[in-house]
Amino acid sequence: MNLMKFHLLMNLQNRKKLEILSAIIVLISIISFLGYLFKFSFYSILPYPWSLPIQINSSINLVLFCILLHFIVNKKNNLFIKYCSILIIVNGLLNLLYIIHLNSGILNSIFANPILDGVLIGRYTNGRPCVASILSFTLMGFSFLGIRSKNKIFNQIAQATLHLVTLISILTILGLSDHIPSLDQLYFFSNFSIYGAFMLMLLSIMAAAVQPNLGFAATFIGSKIGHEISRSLFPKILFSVLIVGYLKILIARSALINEASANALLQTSYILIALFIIYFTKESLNKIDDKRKEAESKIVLANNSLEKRIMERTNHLTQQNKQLEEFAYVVSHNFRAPVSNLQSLIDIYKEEKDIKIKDLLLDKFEITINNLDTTLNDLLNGISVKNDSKKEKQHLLFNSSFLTAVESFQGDIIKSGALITSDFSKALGIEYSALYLESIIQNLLSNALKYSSPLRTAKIHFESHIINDEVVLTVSDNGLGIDLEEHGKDIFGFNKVFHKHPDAKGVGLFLVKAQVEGMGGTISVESKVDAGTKFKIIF
Amino acid sequence: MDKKLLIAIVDDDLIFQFIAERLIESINSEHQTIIFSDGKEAIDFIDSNRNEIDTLPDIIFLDINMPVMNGWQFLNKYIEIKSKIEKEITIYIVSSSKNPDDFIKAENINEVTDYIVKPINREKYTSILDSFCK
Repeated sequence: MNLMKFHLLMNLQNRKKLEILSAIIVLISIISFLGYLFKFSFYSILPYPWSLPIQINSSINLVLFCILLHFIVNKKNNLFIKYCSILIIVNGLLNLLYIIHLNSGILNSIFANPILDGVLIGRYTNGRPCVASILSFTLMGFSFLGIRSKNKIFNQIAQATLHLVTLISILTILGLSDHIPSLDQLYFFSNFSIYGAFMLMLLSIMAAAVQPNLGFAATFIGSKIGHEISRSLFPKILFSVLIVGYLKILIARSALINEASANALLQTSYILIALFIIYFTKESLNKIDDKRKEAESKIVLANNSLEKRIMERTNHLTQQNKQLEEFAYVVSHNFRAPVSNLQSLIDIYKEEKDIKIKDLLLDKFEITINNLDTTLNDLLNGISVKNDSKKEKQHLLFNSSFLTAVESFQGDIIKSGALITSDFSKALGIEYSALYLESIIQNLLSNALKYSSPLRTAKIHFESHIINDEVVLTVSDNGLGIDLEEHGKDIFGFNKVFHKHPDAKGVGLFLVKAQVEGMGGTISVESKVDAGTKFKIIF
Repeated sequence: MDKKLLIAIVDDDLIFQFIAERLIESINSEHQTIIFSDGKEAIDFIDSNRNEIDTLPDIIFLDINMPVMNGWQFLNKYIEIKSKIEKEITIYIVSSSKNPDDFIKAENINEVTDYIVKPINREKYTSILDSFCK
């Protein structure tokens, strides 16, 4: 439906303005019309007292066109628009014919109305609408038909026609405002009311706004820089031109300055005006440019923060992925072995006839099942650390957690004669999970004690630092050390053991890593075989 | 099969050691098994007995995951000293891992005869030991 396109093209704000304006025009036209009937004489108080009041033809046409405009903008009553426009056109053409004095009985009977004529002739010199008026309204009628059309060419012609009407009305206004006494010969403007012409100008501009993408409407209606500048500049230029024109007339009338000097003055004032307009343009454009730059920098900032978040998220996901892979590896390795053992044991048990051997086999069953159970628990402990969201942080002192750990290994320490030292002066404490910190310190102490060298007295040292705003804990010993080249990547793995030791299960470090990483930190190790090991935790 | 074989089990899993020993014995009590709990023990033994044909094992069942020195590390060391060893040893890799990467790695090592997935049942041991004699 063709009318739909206007509905979409005109935005709500412009539509509201249009409706308000047309309501005002209708009101004024109706008042004028009533003024005829009831002989109001309020025109003397208006700015152009010499001007005719709005004539009947104009007021009726104005009202009709406003109604049509309302219907076009609200996409209603298509047929009414069509027929009303045609009616207006016909009226216009008839008026034209009448003026050209094509005497015809029919025409006379249509337009010779004794009542109206009596009213009119009593007031005005010539009751017929002037050529400018007829031409304008007829052209508008055509353009309203053209707006309705689906043909793009007709739309453009309609828009051009409306611009023509605007031009005619502007010419009329300027011509009439000079207060040149209307002569019978000046048929073009003579019977036009300046107010009527003004209403007509408004109406033609409003009608042009209905197609905001065609003609000059496209220059002024829009949100881009070009549109803004146009809207900003045009009134200023218009104002300047009008002022200067008016001044010229004043000068000419008062005959104070001769024409040549007046011209020079005028040209100078035009230059001045040009300068001012350029200044305004520069200001506007610069403001727009600044706004754009501000918006751009905001976008860049938002982009950067977004990228940063994406990177953090990617790292997090990568780490989670790695954990899942490790988990899958651990499951497959550490559960398959005991399960396959159980299968073999069952086969052997079934074939065995000796009861004593059968009992022995049952022992083996038990060992294997216990093994499985322990592995399962150790693994679950490790996993629960990774997923534990209840890692409540408290303010903890390293020294107290350290002393607790030393106490629990008192027996081993005394037996081995190990020297345990600490220095927490550089970083006294930390906001951390109490459970994890104790577990971490205990596991590292236990490890250091377990793998101390039989060749020398064990010396184990705990120290805390602050490096780059982060709390760091180092645990160094002079024990057996680890061959990092051989075992480097397995050191924090599950059930990975590098030395023969009866208590070596290989889960301590696995747990420590899970706990440290679960709280968002990192753990690393330096070691030399038979010299010692140093663990470094960044919390 | 008449020949008395010396079979080495290189695995840290005590239960697996027990099972292997029992099964081999039940197949043929003439065979002797010798147990190592990690790769280091095994390679040290082989190295120190490199000239003793009777002391060196005929077959080695080698696990991959062991402490101190794992199966791969053992193989690396073995390849290094192989030329000095007087005996041709048949090595089978045994593992509970079905990881295809491990399998491919084993295939690429000439010294490895085959890759066996645990559990190894009696029939499998029997077929291996029998095929050895042929």
